Amino acid sequence: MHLEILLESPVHTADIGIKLSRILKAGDILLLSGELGGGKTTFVSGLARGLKLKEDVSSPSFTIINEYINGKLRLIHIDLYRLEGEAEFENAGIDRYISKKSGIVCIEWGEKLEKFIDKDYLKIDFKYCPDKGIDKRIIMINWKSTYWDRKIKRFRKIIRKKEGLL
Amino acid sequence: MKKRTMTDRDIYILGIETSCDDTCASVIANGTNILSNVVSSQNEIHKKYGGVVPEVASRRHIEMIDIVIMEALSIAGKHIEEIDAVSVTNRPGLIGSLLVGVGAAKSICYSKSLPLIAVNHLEAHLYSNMIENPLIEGGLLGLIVSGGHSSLYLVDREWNITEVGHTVDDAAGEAFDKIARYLGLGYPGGPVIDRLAESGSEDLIEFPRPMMESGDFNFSFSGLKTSLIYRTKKHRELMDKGSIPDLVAGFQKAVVDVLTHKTIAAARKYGMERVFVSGGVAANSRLREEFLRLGSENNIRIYIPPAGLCMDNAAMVGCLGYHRLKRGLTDDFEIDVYSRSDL
Repeated sequence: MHLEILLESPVHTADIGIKLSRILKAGDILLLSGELGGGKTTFVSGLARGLKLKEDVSSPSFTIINEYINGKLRLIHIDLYRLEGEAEFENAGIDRYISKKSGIVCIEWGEKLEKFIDKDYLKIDFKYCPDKGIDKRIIMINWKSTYWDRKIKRFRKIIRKKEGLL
Repeated sequence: MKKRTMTDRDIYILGIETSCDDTCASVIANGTNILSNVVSSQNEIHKKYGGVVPEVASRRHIEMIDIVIMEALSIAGKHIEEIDAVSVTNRPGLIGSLLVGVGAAKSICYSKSLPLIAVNHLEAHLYSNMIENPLIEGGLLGLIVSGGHSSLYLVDREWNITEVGHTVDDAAGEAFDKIARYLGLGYPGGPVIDRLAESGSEDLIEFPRPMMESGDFNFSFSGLKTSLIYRTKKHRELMDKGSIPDLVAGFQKAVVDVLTHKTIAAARKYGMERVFVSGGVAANSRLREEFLRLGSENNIRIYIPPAGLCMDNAAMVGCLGYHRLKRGLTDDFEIDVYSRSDL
């Protein structure tokens, strides 16, 4: 099952993050994929704002895992950009964060983890649209379970009617 | 012969740093004289380890830590019995990686009854400038610019540190790395962009100067990265081998301009006449050049450590450990590790 949304600007990308945060709970896993500059970190910073985190969310590409504990829910922001293969994911402790259910786990470059993960997740793919303009992105949200089915139904109600829906 | 007292004999600190990719150990005397500074990615260690070490793998620190510490002691010509204290990074960083360094430091201190000093990686970066200037007094502005951080700090006379600005998205070093990888130039991106930009013209391809006039001291480099990627998508010819030097030179100039201008502006606002620049990106030759030029123009003294001390290293951890020891700031064995800890 999937949902596509046209994002007009980075502000819109962050706003969709804020709105999605309202349907999330501890243990939810989001796998974010898409090119460099696609808006993954911008989306997570929106999510963080939705969770009322006071800190700015910066990219964890170098630090690999950033944990934010001061929001309504704990946010674990992971970036697999520099990691390859199951051994490296395990070495970095990614598996622990996925099974702990201590917070919302957002994983950038999450497509790398897809074939190793045995948990339910929501997949969000970010795409450039060079013909539409530098700020425009399309996101494709994919899921497989009835759990996410129910959640996305609520999400659809939260985003303004037909807002960017493709 | 006059009997030497504790205060005038040399103090040797073993520094240990495992917060990110490299396993590092160093022996430093009196916080200023580096006797050894071993980094696991160095060739000699590769040979001892018997192969190429993967780019990121935190459990790899476990395999490397003994080799690296022994190598640091051996190069320094010091026996563990001659060490006065162990200083180790315990925040911020990958938990699994930090635990290895902190575990090693605790074991050494416990078995040899040595003082243990746990330090903040970012504070240690600031202190990398103290190695060559051990007597410098507090009251300055610090810029840490690396793959994971791009932040400005006020350091008061008592060496208390307050953040006055940070990146709201990507760190400067991360922007370099990502652009280099995107353009197929390899990892890490900083050195290769630095080298290629030398043969390019930095004014040919204009890039935005994000947050230059934002009125605060925060940085943003994500939009700059997007701007480059978007441009190459529209104009494929920019990816040609002949255009890459101009492309990266323009990009580098934008990063350098924002970092230098905002740092100088912050120094002026807070009335600081001295600036400590540190972190991996401080090894960038264009950034160093521009900082020195703007510094002399504004009567602000710029301190930048030699390139080897800009990268993650344990000498800076030992240096900070020395200064904390002198102030009587040691830690007990209860200390933990923390993934995030802003100064």
